[in-house]
Amino acid sequence: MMAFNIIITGIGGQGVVSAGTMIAEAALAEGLRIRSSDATGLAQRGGSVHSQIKIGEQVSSAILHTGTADVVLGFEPLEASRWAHMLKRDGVAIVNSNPVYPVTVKNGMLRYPDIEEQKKVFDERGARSIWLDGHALTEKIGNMRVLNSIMIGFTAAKTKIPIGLDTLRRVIAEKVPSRTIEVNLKAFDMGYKVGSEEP
Amino acid sequence: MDTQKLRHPILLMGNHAIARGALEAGVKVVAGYPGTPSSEILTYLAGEADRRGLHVEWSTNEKVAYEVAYGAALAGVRALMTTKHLGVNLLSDALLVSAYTGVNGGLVVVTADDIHPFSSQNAEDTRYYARLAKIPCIEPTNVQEAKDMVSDAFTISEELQLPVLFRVTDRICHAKSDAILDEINQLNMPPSFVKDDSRYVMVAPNARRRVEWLNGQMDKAAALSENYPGNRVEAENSAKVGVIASGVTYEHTIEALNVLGLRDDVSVLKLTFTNPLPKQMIAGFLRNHSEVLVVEEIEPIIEKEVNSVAHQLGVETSIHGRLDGYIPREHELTPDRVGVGVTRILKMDDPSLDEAEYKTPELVRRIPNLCAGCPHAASYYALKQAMRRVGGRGAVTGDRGCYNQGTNPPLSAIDTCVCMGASISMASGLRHAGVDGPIVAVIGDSTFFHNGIQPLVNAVHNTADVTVMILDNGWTGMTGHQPNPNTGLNATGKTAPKVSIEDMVRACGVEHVQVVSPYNVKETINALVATMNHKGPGVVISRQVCPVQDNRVRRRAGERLSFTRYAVDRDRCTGCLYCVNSVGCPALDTVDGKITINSEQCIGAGCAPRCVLQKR
Repeated sequence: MMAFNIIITGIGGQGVVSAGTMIAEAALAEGLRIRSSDATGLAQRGGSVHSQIKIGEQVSSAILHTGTADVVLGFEPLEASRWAHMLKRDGVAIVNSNPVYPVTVKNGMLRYPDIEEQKKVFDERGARSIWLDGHALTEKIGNMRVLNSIMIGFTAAKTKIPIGLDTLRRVIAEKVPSRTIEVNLKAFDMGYKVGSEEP
Repeated sequence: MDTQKLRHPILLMGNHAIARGALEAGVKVVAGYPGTPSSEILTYLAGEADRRGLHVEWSTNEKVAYEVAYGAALAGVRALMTTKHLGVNLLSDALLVSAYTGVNGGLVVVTADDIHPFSSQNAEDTRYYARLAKIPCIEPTNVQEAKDMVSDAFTISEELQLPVLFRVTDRICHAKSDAILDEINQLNMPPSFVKDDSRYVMVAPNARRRVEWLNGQMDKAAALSENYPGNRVEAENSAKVGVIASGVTYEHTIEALNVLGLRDDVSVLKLTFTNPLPKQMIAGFLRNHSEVLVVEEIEPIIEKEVNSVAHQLGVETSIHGRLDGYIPREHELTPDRVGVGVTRILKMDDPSLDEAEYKTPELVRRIPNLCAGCPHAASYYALKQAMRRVGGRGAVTGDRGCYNQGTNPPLSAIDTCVCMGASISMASGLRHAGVDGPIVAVIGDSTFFHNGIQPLVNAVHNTADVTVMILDNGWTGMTGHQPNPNTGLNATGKTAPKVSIEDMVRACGVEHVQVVSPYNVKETINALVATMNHKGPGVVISRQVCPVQDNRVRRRAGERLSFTRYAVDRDRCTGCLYCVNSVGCPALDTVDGKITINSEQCIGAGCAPRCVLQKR
């Protein structure tokens, strides 16, 4: 089996690193080996964050080689587009379409690229990008902090991630705070359902 | 834990692996100062301290931490010291002399080098210090080895009676991997300090003798390096091209060769005991290959030594690396960057890099900013107002901590940032040079205790007319909220005496001292103006606990948090963006050119300009 490579990317506070840890723990439970690496940047909140994960029977180096990511899982559009070059030609980007504007955009110093422009970054690579409105789904659930469980569920439906659904659910239940187990599993299931329904 | 369970792999972060390795090796005393990417090692051990009978401390700075650990090692117990690369500069004063006395119990200095750098002032290679101090250096290649080789490092340290530099980088520290644990050892090493002034009192005659001893120990270390199982040729084949790789670059090399399909075309010499180098082993590898690429992070240290081995042997092998540009001169290595060097030697196209499409897209950078409600943002707002009121250009010298981010727009509030404590001494230098206007040094509470006290004494002693603004948020925030002498807690979470900053400042001889809350903007501006107008050194302590950590502590204690809710009167907001540009709080959003408050982020500090702010 070739390694299955994922880059999860977003901003501080969105649950990027914990999503990466849950996927890595689930891969471990499936008997696979893991190399992963987190870059949390400087800001406690609001800075760029990413997590690179390789899972497989044989893995080496906690950094992905360019063009070897099976999935770029973007919790924020700009942060997802930054990593387009890491995708395989037949890779897929799954992107939460809700922008979080840097302060330099808020005060008009810089321009945030349109979503259409950002879609083009993936199109030009010949990679597929799937966009979902994560904010709307968290609102449906009534908890803004379950975006990562939704994204993992959606990924399970849309990609060939070599981890069983039951394993993912079990690890989520183990890893999230006990009073949020139910709402996180609901979020995972909703992400999976939405991912299975859409073409 | 039974052995069966131990053989089951777990997911382990590199820093936790190092901590676990120290436990397995029977460490007794641990000291360090927080610094990315090293901090989680000590935090993990602090959590284990009570039940395993360890002494674990956050020291006031790295030199102090090293000397604590060194003292323990002289007493015959195993001691670990943790630091980031910049801390090694500070502790080197003690390190270089301690190599002369040597140690009794094993002493391992874990240095986590931020080599890229991702969050540091410079990108330095602390392996030079192993050469300068003449001590062994170990560089694990992955998380499993990071755990396993801590035990090796203690053994080597005791065998040679020398401190060992255990050198890791961000891609070990913050990597996660499957790893197998081993048993935790309880060592029977009772502490005892035996007087031996000819060894421990480093006056010159003793030093002249001990340097001979030290050089002899390093000859023994060279033999250990030749036979160390972590130094070996991997995947031996008949290839004429070879790679010599140390630390994490070994794993990048294997990944690059796998991706490029070159595993049979290139052989690899893996090095983990890298000072002194196994010169015989390297000589053999050179003789078997016509071209060799040396990969390492971040300076071409091994590369130069390999060149010297080749020269001594008179072998014709071409040696490539950072020196001749086969590997980029700066920054961390990746599988891509190693692949470029290998394909260049093989004179083949690197299929993954020649395509223009593989270039990183040029996109808006997300500049790190201070958190919503950060008291530092309020302090900077007040500082800029005060500077304007006093007039003259002046300067703001910054220091190391979260408040560094005050350099970024829209605050753009500090003019320098070099190293821990430099704000106060550099401010003094600017004043003595004759710079006009208010000169303000901005320094955090932890940084003040780390290396800010001596510069303040110096400013008093030499009558430097400067204003020192101590941003006191009660914690060492930037590195993940570790306690410091001002927190009232120690590393293991127990109550500790709180060292008063204002008492310390007065004891340094400063007479003009004021304590304010930055959330009270008016009071803070007035205190700063008064201090700037005061002749001679003056201190304003801007005190407000870090809300991120305070809220975390209160939540953990079971408190239900409620914040004052603010809203913006959008009819009155003119969209001038003064608030965004003057405070830059991330809780301030712009929608259709006007301000709104992001209720998910706002913590109700109420520190933004109040022109249109309303309590809800």
